[in-house]
Amino acid sequence: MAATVEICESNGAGETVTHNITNTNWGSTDSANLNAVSNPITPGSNSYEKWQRLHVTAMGGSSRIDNVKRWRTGSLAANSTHVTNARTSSYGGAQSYAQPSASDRSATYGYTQSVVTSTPGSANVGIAGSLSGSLTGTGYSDYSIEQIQTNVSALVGTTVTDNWSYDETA
Amino acid sequence: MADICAACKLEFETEETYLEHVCESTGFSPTQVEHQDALTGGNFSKVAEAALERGEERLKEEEVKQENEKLPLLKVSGRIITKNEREEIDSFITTTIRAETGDEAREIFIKRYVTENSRLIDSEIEK
Repeated sequence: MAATVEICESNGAGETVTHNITNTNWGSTDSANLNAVSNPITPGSNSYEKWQRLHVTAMGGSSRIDNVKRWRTGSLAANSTHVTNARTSSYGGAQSYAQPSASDRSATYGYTQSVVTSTPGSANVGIAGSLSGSLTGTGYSDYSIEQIQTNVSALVGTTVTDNWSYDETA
Repeated sequence: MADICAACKLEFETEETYLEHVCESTGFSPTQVEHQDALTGGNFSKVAEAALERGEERLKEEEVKQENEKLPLLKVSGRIITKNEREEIDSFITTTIRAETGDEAREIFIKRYVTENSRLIDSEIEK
């Protein structure tokens, strides 16, 4: 039997956790599973940040979950960048939750890296503040924080694939 | 703080009550693999299986690494070769040199490696 894992997103001032999100639609509102058509990013602006975590809901007899990775496949349209706090070295540690914002708070929350477009060679999302951390029971990874940043020439409507992976030890 | 199940839209006061609920959308609780499989068309089990395979592979690698660390230090041509160098040598020997000549070839390779301080190509090894 395997561990049960889901991806969760946190929103709002008081942190509402939406479990098992079905997409990472970027937009102009602080909401999980948002409607991107109704909430488009104005060119020249940023999306609201996404604060997401991997959540182990049951170990299922396994002993360890670790090596959490996140990356994107597919290219963004021109004039936009996709930034993150995920990184395989010089990791900034676990961030404490703050209500997602459409401001560029990369310096505060460490999302200064461009999202990689192939599987990272090692973990880039920490657990308990460390890239070598692990979960041995139910619990969360650190927050993976991402934002789409655009300039005035950006076009709406790009679709890419958001990937997560983890290792499980029986 | 509140916890919402994206599948059935129910809201819970704590993570624990979320984990305990039986989702009206899937008929299972979020702690059950069946819940994830119901939401992903069975893909979750494949994801979990791949995660287990990666975990087992890494576990084996860690065991081999620990075994290697137990090996005595190897001193060649006046200096101790590093752990990384030794792993590289062992990997090279294992993958490129015939088992029956392994010991002799290993010695030759190590001496050349340390002397020249560079990786040798296959053709330079005396087999």
